[in-house]
Amino acid sequence: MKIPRQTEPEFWNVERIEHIRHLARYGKPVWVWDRAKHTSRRILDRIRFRAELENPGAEPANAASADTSTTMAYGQIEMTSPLYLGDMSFGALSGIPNIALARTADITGIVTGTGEGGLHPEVRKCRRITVQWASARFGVDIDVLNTGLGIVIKIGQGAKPGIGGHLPGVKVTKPISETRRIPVGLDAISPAPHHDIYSIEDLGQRIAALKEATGKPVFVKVGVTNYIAYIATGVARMGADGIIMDGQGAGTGAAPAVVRDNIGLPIEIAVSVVDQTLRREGLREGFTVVAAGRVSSAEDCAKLLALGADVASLGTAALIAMGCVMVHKCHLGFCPTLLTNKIEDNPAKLLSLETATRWAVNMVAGWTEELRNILDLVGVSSARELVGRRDLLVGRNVGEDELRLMGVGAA
Amino acid sequence: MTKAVWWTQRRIRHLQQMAGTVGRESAEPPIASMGSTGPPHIEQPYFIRDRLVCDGAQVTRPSIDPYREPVETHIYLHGGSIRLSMPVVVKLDPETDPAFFGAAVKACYCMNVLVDVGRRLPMGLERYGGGMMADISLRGRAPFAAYVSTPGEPLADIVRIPPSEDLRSVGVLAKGVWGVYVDEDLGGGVGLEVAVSLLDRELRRLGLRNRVSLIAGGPTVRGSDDIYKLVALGADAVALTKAVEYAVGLPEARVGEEVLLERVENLLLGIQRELKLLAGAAGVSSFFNTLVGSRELLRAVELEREVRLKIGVKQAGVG
Repeated sequence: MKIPRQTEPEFWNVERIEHIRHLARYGKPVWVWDRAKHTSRRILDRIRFRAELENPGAEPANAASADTSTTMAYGQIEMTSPLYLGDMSFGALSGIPNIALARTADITGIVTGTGEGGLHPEVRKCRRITVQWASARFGVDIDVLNTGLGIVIKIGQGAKPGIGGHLPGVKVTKPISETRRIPVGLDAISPAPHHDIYSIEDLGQRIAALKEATGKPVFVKVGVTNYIAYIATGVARMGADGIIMDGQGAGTGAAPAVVRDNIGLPIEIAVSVVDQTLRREGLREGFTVVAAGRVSSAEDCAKLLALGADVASLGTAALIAMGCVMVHKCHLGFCPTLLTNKIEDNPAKLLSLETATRWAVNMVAGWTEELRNILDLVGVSSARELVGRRDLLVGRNVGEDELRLMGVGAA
Repeated sequence: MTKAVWWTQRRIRHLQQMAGTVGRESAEPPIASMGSTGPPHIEQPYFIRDRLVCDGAQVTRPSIDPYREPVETHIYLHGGSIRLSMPVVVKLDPETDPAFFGAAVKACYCMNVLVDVGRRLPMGLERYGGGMMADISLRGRAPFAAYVSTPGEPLADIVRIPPSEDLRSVGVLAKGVWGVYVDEDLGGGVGLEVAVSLLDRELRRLGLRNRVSLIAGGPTVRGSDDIYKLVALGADAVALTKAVEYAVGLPEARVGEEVLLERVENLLLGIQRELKLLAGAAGVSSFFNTLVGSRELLRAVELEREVRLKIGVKQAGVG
């Protein structure tokens, strides 16, 4: 579908959308260094790899030998690429995209999060998924918990830290009602906090209980807020296998605009601060740090790894691969690209599962190739080796205090 | 008439949705989807507060769910004798459309929000000023709606100053008044954030803060996020001017007083609900007890050190 003209400021501009579409169509790298990074004001776009600045025209020579594989949860989950497809729920997405993303993980060997609200029957058949234990517990039972590779306790998300999930009533159709066990047509607004998790100690008890019940790794997903370093150390100390940090600007199916636009910190700051703090506390090894929020290209992903993440999470990018044109209408239920529309019986309003899966798989493949090129150019042999290599980065037009906090030198 | 640059389409549409001037979801916080397009990293930041982010409680403490749990937005002025339902003052231009003027006074009376009418109430609206709490003799008679008059008028117990960094005369100014009102319409060269934060700390240092209320605002205040951030920096209440006019569709709108009245009420209710969402997300259950002056609930994203120190807000990422 044609991308509508963008009249207001937008991170996901035409250049970024076209890049991801190209990856989705051909599964091949489009560029070596991200050419869209000059179009926004993000700190991450002003942090650059030294390798790029020193030799901007260099072509990768040994990209094929760069190893993108990694592991999560103290080695319990192996992945072919440090990519996690963000936790988007059945309900927020209209079913077919959920299946496509889950199958993409099975096909490519990465991991897909399934979001709050139970599993689509076809998603349940996929192996490489995580299931979510969120504040309303929609659709959660022991079978669901035992389905995937791990469990995600959702404390918050980047678009609305401190606020619960929100599925507008117009999108609560019969299949959603059955999966979530809620009435048709009524807003499904999850509680802001988990009413059995009021402190880090409470969280520790839930982690222990979920591990005992399932034997699976447990991750904690949080929105990035003021005390992110304390939160991350707390999560690690309480025995979780990893933290999924969702930064400012991350996507959502529906959130009050005032909350989305004013709460939360940029992921690039959080990742670095958390990595440094966990290392200082001796909690970093094996513990997984997943970074989410405006991850738009392999270069973003590589920078987040260098800043201290193990894995980058793609949500919006995955939707764009399946056709999203960024009209910001997910909460209304009439998505023009059939990704977040309400579920109806009309087969004309269904996305082709085969096509959506192909596009998402291609995107992961192309993205991984782009990452391989970057690994080669910055002189590391594997994605694992890149983690925490802040020395490979420099900041341009970034404040002294910000750079010091992030442990990155100035250009 | 052209609108100032910081009044973006996005901002005006947001207020108009709440007022019910456009859309069908009046008095509700507008819902959005996909990633934020706001400042500082996507939209251009215009003010210091565009670089301030609010806290969201994650596992450090429970957040509060304003759909199901109470969040108290009321605040007290004048040593407790004026109780406002939310930290909002609506400042009206005496030259504005008379229908809008009347509508706004009535709506604010109804919503228990202070109105600043400039000089005095026009004919026919006197009874809405009956609760004028600046006049001590009226205390207790009608505790809610109130208006503020200009300095020099008989009822002036509040001193109005432009936003400034100059704190030398604060002690003198604050003597014998119950409030200091930082009014952007008087000019001044610094941001509201700086003026409010410095003044709040100076009044605390002088031991006057419990007695002297702090009101601040003007045409740069664009909505509940600005209100919330200015309160966290030390204001007891924040004055809206253009925000209300644009929300109800002025200057273009040609509608009667009844429609305008409803729109102002919707807007105020919407703002109150948004304030509850922001506070609830941070785990704040009471504006007056917890939020006023709680700079710890804010973080600054790429704000110069000098400004950060002045307003007393930490850098994003610092625990």
